[in-house]
Amino acid sequence: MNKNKLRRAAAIVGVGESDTFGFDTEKTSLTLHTEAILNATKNAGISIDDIEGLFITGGAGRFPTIAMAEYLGIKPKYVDNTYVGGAGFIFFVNHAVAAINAGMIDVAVISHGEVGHSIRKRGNKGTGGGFSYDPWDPSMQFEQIYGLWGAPAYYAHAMNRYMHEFNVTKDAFAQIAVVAREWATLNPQAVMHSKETNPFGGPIDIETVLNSRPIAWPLNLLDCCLVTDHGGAVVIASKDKANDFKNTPVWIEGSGEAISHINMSQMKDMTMTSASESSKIAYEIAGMGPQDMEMAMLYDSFTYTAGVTAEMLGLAPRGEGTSLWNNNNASPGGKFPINTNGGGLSYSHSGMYGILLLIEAQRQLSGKTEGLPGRQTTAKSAIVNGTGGPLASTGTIILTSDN
Amino acid sequence: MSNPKKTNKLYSRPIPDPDILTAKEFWEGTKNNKLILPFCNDCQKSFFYPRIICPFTGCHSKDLSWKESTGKGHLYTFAIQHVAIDGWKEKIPFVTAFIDTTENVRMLSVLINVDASKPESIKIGSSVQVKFEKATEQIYVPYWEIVTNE
Ligand SMILES: [Zn+2]
Repeated sequence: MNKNKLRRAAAIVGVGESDTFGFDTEKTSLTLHTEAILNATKNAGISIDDIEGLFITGGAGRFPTIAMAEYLGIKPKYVDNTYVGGAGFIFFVNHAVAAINAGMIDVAVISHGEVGHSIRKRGNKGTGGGFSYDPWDPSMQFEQIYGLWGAPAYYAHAMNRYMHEFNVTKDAFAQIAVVAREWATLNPQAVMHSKETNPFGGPIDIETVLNSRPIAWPLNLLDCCLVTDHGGAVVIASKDKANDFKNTPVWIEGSGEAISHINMSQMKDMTMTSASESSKIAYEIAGMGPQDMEMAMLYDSFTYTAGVTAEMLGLAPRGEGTSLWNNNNASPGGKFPINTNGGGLSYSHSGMYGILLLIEAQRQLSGKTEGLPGRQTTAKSAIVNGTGGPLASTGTIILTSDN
Repeated sequence: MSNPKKTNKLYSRPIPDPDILTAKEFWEGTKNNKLILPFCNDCQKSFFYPRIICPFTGCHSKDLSWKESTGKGHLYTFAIQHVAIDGWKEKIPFVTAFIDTTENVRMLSVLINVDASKPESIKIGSSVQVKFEKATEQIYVPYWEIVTNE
């Protein structure tokens, strides 16, 4: 396998979000997808009829790519709705690079739209929740019988094991939420930007996190990401076409994906994720290493997720992932910015957050700061990692800009 | 989520619905106060959850049988649930745990007879033993408890 030809085979050339997002958008998943796709294609300077590959997950029912193409009235010739949780959008980048490199398409759109918040109010009338709906399936027969509710119930076990093995405290993880909020206070689009955007918005400290109500010990409410409505989309183009768009191309230097389990009883070491594997592939293709990265977008479904992921990507030694957030290192103006939009913890998180990692990384690297939300960094390279399911799947990509 | 109809007055939490092809022996075992685990006749290892193939790398045999577990193990990790589904809501806060049995099989369960208000009192690595709780005449659910004196 010649991995080298995958390096810079494609670039991100446009990004967009839904016209509104956050709590109570009164929209459907398809509406959020559509707004995001229209904004991303407009940002790239193309028509939706130019979309050759359509990569969709999140909301939009059981036939998401077909439903979305029908709704838009477009006829993509390559579709993919891989379902691996919130990491899916990073997997989609990997898959789009493959399809582009194979010469099957030149322009792909990856999209997300999910009413994570509104569906709780409207009531999910379909088969929601859980990993499975057949009572005979292993997750139903042997795990859900013990009452575990959603992602926090599972992640809490991994965080506790990690704290035990590495003698790391809840405070160290709380600091990740504090830094996420620092970025959010500089981003007027962030759901938790200020008291004006949300009664609980604005700056927080470690005590605020530790005093928030327990969800699944050791996770408190503020260790957990938001649950919002949100749509996001990115446009990816082949290297031959990448310079034909309005934006400076943000090059995909390397990408990788890895899966490990779906039932957490099958996860051998809960202090590790498959991000060590997905990042190894991405680094190899890119010919780069952790020392070459100038910022990171790390999926912070929980403070724990971001902390352990930093280690899996080689950004910090084992047991010391949370130290990256200390001493203003990952904060605005710091040496190694992390989650510059405010993260899933304080920007927005509809249930499958991965698309927003890509959008923020593109904005930071594209170099056009005017009109962009949030504080801009000077980074020219970024590592982006998504984690899906109960620490079940990871996708890693490495992005750079020549700008 | 689990079928809320499948509960009763005795046991208001979700009641397991056994897969009769792959898990009949497991649930017959719990009824008889025994933890019986799937066993691979080729690589000679126990595994969990029950399925029609050995999950171990390099084996994947379909020559499977069943082997009684010691019913003992240790606490790999735990969490204290303050939000839950179905009848478990009545039990909040309660302690869920991943148990490693002496056969090196990991299972999710609920840890009983611990103080959920004091996480620091529950020690990872503690020796644990299985207990079965009657849900219906046909179904007994595995729970685990910390063994203090060995
Ligand atoms: Zn075997």
